[in-house]
Amino acid sequence: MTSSNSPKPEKKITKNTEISKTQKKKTKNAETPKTEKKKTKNAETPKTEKKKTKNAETPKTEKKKNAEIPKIEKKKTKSAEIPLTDGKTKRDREIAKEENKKKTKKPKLSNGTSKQRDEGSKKGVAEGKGEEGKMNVFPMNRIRTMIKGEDPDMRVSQEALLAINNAVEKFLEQFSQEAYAFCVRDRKKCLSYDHLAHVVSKQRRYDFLSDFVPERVKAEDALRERSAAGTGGH
Amino acid sequence: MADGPASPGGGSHESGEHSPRSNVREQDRYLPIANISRIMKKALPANGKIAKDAKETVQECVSEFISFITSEASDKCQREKRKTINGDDLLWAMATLGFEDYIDPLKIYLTRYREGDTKGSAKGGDSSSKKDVQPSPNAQLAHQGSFSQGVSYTISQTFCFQH
Repeated sequence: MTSSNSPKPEKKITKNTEISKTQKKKTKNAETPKTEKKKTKNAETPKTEKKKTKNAETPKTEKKKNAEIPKIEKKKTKSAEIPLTDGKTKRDREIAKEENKKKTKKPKLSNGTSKQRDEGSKKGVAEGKGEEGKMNVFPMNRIRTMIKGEDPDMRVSQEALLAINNAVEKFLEQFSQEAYAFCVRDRKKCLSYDHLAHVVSKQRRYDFLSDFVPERVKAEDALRERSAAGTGGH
Repeated sequence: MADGPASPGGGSHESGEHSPRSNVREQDRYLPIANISRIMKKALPANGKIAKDAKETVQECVSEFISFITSEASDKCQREKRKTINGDDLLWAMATLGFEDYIDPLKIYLTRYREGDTKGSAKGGDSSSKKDVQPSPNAQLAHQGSFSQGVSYTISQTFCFQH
């Protein structure tokens, strides 16, 4: 227990430094072929998706493994004990159990008994969170901070945060699909800025984005408009 | 942490406003690009690819969307001399600003949320504990255990969805 306390601050540091890199890691993950080792890593960290992306990379995970050793034990047993119907998760269970067997028996017994007692209450809680978990896609505190930035005096209810969370998801889906339609029309494989700008210019509902996503104009045309205006742009 | 992506015009303007704590504000001004990227990919065909500049542009668009809706809802609350923005205010704002098709799904969503809320106040407590756990994992075993189990359920459901 005492040993587990010391590596925790290291995790915070690693998380903070690597949050900005999650995007790059994902691209790397897509390129590399999947291996059994990665599966085990995913099994070891069911907590957050960010951790999954981090663990998928072999060179960095070596360091993380050392830091996360005390917590890994807890995670493995939990993942193994939770009832799951998927075949993949069953494999993860078996892997976790095998790894647990390798370790000494004594800590297992004490940890197991304590967890068994807690599980009764935790499962009920987990079910509730599971429902909420699949609904909320974005971090609630971040949304609250953004809304507070708009009007600091105004308070925001939990219900309002959920409404915004869901609305943003719909906005993203719709915006992406409309942009992709232009992407297909241009016969391009990759959705890019021009397609987004085209959506904004074509649809009235996205007028509020016109300042943020203007369509790109050639310098010649811009200069002509400027000279035509006479006094120049405001 | 690296600063979040920002367009030159918008970035310079907003950074001026928040100069005293630019690092914190810079991070908090946008939603995480990984979450945005995931939803964009879900909306596109399996072979659809998204350029990095498109992801960053959409990240800014999402922030602007939130400000746009919130600003309208906030104005309504001020007119009615209320100090708390609730779900209905946001629904009204969306209808006013041209996102009428969002209203019905969101009403269903909020109704489900309210029904869930009546069953037990524990859920509210759980969501707050979630917020606490995410930025910095607590040493307390109870928080850690409950959080991990909740997430594992989410992950298992994700697997079901994928199948």
